[in-house]
Amino acid sequence: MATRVFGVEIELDDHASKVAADATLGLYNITSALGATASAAASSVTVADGTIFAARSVATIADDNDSETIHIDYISGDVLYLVEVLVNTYTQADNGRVDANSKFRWIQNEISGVSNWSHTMLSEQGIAPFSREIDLSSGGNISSPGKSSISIKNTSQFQDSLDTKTIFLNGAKATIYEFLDAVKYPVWSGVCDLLQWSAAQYTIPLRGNLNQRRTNLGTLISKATYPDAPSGTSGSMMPLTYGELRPTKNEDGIDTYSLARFVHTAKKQKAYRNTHKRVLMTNSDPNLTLQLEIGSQYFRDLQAFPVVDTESNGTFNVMFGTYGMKWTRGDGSTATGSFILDYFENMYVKIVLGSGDSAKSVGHIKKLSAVKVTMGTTDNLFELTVDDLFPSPPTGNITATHADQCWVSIVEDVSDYRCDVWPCRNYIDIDGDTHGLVGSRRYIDWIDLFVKGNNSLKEGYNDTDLVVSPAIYDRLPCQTFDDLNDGNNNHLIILPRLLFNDIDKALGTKTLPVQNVKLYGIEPTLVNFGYGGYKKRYEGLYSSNIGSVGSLVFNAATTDLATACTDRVHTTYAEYANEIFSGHKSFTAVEFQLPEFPVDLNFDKIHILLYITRTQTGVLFGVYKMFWDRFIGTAVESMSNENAIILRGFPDEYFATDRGLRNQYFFTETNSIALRYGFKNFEIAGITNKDIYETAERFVMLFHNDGVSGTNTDTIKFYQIAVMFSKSYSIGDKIYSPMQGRTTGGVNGDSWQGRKSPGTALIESPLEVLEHVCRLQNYSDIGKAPTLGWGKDYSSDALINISIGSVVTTVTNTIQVNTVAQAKRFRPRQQITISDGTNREIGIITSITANVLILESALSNSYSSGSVWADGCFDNPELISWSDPIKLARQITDQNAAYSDEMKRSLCRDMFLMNWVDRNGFECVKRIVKEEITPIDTVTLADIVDRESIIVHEPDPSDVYAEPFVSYQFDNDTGKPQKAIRITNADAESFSTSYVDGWTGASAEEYWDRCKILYKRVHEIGKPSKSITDLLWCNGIYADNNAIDNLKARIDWMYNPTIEFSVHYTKAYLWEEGHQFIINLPHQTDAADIECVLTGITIDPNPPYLIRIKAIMFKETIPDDFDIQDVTYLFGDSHDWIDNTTEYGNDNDKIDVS
Amino acid sequence: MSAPATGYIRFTNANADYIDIDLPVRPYKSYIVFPFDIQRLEYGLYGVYDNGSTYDKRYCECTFELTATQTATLNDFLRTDGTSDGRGKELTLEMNADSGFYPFGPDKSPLGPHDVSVEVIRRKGVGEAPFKYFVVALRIRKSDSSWTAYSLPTEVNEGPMTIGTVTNCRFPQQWFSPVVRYGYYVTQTEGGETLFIDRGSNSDAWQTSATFIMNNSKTAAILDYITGTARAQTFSVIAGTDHYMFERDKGGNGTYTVRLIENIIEIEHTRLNQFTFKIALSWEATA
Repeated sequence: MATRVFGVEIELDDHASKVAADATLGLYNITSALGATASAAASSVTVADGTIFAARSVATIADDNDSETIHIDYISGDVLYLVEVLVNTYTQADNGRVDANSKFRWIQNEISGVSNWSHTMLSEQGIAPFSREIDLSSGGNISSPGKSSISIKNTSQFQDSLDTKTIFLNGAKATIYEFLDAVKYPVWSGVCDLLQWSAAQYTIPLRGNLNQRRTNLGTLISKATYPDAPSGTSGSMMPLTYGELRPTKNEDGIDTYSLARFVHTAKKQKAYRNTHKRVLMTNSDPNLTLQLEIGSQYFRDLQAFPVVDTESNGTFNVMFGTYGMKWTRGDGSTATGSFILDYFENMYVKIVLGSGDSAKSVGHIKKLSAVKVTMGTTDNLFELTVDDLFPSPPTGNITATHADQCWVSIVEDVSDYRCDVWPCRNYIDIDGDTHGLVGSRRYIDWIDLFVKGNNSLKEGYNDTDLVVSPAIYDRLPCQTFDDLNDGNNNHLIILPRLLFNDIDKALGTKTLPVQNVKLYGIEPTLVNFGYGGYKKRYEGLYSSNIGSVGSLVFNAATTDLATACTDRVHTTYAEYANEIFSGHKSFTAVEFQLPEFPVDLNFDKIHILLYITRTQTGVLFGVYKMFWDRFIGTAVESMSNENAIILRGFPDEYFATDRGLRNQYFFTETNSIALRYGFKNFEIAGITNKDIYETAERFVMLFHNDGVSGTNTDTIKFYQIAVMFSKSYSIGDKIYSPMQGRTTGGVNGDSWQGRKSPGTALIESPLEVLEHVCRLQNYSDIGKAPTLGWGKDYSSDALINISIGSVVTTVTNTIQVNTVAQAKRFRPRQQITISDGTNREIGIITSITANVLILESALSNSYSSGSVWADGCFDNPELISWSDPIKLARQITDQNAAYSDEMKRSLCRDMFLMNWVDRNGFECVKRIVKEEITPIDTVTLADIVDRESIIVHEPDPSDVYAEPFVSYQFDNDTGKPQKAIRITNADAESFSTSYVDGWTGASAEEYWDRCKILYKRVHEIGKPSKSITDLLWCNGIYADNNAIDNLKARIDWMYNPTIEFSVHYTKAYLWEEGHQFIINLPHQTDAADIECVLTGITIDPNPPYLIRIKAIMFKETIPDDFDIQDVTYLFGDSHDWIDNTTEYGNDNDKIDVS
Repeated sequence: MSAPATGYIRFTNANADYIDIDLPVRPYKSYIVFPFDIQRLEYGLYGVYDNGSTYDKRYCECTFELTATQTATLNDFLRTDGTSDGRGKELTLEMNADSGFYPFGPDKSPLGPHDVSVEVIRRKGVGEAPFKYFVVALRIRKSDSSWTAYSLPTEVNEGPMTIGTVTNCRFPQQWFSPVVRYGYYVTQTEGGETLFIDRGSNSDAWQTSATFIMNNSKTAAILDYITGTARAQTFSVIAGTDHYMFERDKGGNGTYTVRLIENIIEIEHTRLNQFTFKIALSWEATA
């Protein structure tokens, strides 16, 4: 028979400077000479012996001239394929070689065909039992590290050898192998723990390497990384944002807030000061840099400068001194010509003084497009060009004595907020819409912004509430903000053009198209607007003389009125020609309605922004008036121009195409008898809150044709009408917005081994979140850190179980998959499932050749299509079909919660998943639910070694909570849950709907019934820990369903007993955490099949080679007539397994099966 | 100070106060405790670290049959705490040249002087046989590592075995007790099935032990060889025809490389010129 021996390998970290090998200690160098020249930029290295190296390992390539670290991706024969190309060239002639980490290799005894393993080091029973375990007592989890221990002889003073060789074993990677004859298989891996030794024996405790991969995904906001961060956020953590965070709504508006927190990562407002020899223009050639030399002390430190001319097309000049200044090069030569000064990039100009008309602009800040100087006569002038215009053009003269003289400062004004460092999917509004973030254009209402409300809690709640604390936010108009537009969608910047004096004082705006724009004609006269003598002649036309009513003609070549006014296209308009004769008069009347009020929006004022122009033939432009009207009563006049010609108040970006007008009509404040520009001139007085807003039935605009003799035509072009909400507010250190969080691709567009292309998808399903975190873990034992560091970008060496392939054909015990690449995803000894939709079965891989998987035993069916996947595979199609519809959302703002293991643990707990690392080191995942088909493995009494070792544990009362609850929908400001589902009164006689908070329907009653049974089991109301009740990933609009699913699963889970037993090694040596099997025992299961999931396995590699199994028994598989516990009962479905109840006298009862 | 009279041993304290009592009766036992750290290894052999002969310990457990007077002398000496007494003190043990008493093995001087400690480990009280004699057992520990010079007696041939460099040793009359491990393991499940793990023949291992009965000279020579030369190292044993020292597997006779696998040797002085001692050996190789 085949021999079976165990060995252990401990890997050092010496590839860069290898220790001296010592076979008597079982210490071997892993080194090979080059088999060929390894050229710079090569992606592979040929060595003399490739068999000694391992894929996904680190090594050093060196010769007499150079050396560098390499990461071996995979190996084919004697060719090592590298993760990154070589920097240098290495030759055989210069003694080129590759050194991997040296290894201690100790084996229980010699085996023919196995070399470089020492059999003289291990003490008797020197490889202690090794364990794998996962605590599923409360549902989903990540596996625990497990443990083992290695003991070797110390009679040759092993510790001295370590000292001499400067070897430190703590933390070294240790792998236990099973040798089946000369073929070795990894069976357990871990790291060396706290070492101890006696004169006879050196003991190396091992612990599972689960924690070795732990990393923190968070980024601290420090002065080093964010030098301009305000004190309020410096030291806190940049959030991690997952899934779609947005509020839930009900008929009253927003129900609960689920918003992404943006933290203040930069806040700086600093004025430019004249400084002697300050470099204001840089150049790659330092001799060509340009600096300002200020000879006169008088002009140094000045920070306010006079405007010397009048702004035209956004450009004006300011004087920064009068004499004693010159521009010099880095080499000291005097500069000539014109130069754009890059020093002022991303800086702003602020009007600090102004009189007369200029006073309107004081305090306004506009971004500088460019600052230019021209040598010669204007050495002392900065030519400033601004992106946006001021309310009034900056003006002044060379003597700074102009009647409206302006003075300006040039300021560096930085204020930005971030919700993550990782690229996010998109900004959304409260309805989940993304508003077309395409290119550099975006609508001005592309984001919904919230700040924490004055009242921290929703009405009816208080801070002492133990379960939920619904939050209150103020939804604000937010035109103040824009995305940085770097493609990452995680970085909001404040637009200072809407700031006034203070960087924290903003004017937020939100602009929405009006609705139902049409010709007015509902009333027979205009008496309600003060023009009773004008009678309706046609829709939209009211005239004063019955004999000559005139006409209102729509130009069919233009866009219809309703569309033109709301399409956000600046080139489309609806044109109406109002014609009247012989001195008669008429009104063109147009009405519109305000848009539906944005849910929960806070505002101070509304503005009706117009883009309307008029041309005339034979008439003087007549009066324009706007009224707003309730359903009854006198209309309120809100706007009037005596001879209106142009009415324009829109910002450029309202339109889909950038107007490039420097927002002239939005900012410039002009209100003459003919012209009305600037949003401030479109303010509607009297509408200051939602209640008043809702009373406004319609707005009516009247354009008077003030005809004289002959034909008078008043042609009106209606381009656009919108309402703009505005609110002045202070910006704090945190702002909040609905958000779609992290994308799969991340910083470098990673495709997850070609499975997530192009990588811009939102990470939101449980499997995606788990794999994302796994990929961000620390794989330093096998690979190279990402450039941004572990946890900040994906590891190219992440070990994720993606063992899946497309089935081509099967023959007896072989499965041919589509490609060799697919076959390489598998590893020997994996348990696989093969399915073509019709048949489905399970097998064990013994070996892999090319694209063929060879199984331990023949398949029962033939397959020519379908898939084959390994246990724990992230691409398990059945797992994906469960996971994909589930939408998780969470924002992590606490450093402790950002550790990868904490994130995985909470995710697995919320979703009833288990995550473990298989014996090959790959991250695996599985749902802890009953398998769809019967597991392949069955344990009967005939398999048991020592039947007295079989122990069944009923559910631990400390893990049973008869009145369970879950909290979710966490407020990202307070961290408190806003919603909960709670089951109460579990000891009541019968169900009442009031006993289940936050959950209604038949299922709520069904699960209350189950909780009642739980109460009868334990006769107390347990107090679950927050780690169980806080569903950290259940946020956003899908949170309710996820929370209910969790609570259902948790209640069901509390019924599950556990079982322990021992079997021989050969029965269960391939089993790992989560392995599912059937147990059937004459006594303990009453000869019934009960499905189990393995939670702990301890394998003893020493005689008598027993394996101790601990498993949870799925109560769903316990038959109705099997009573594993003496007194209990359930109701209603196949989940029941109790035999004696008539509690309700209806279908809820499972009647007396005993 | 004269030597103790024939038939007596003497315990002397630092103040030169002493007592003489009768020699102990045979058999008595001597123990050699080696400072070996022995580790059995997974593949069946042993790793042994020897801290050095400096740390060897020897002691003797012997029984005295004393008259009431002698018992009083002994008891007074060991009980009384005074400069002229022996309570809790290091003493010097001396014997007469004819004593035939080898408290620390026949490879060490039967005369002394030896620095020792003495403790009473057992009393039987006065008894029937010998009539009205008190039976007192002492543990006498050698309390330092220096030894009085002693020339081993001329070896007297007894048999065909060679142990280390000591030839013509006597075959152990109770034969060898080999222990053999074949490295496969059988487990029977509750279903009656027997399941195997076979580590292969490289995991097979052989040990043996034997109780030797030898004369003074051979016992002294072997103990001297083991304690002075072989110690924790491997050494050769030549077994004679049909000795089957390591069971049938390693043959009836042959030259074997062996290693001492216990760190204590118990020597019993049974008769005037007869000692028994037991050693346990692991098989390392066959020449």
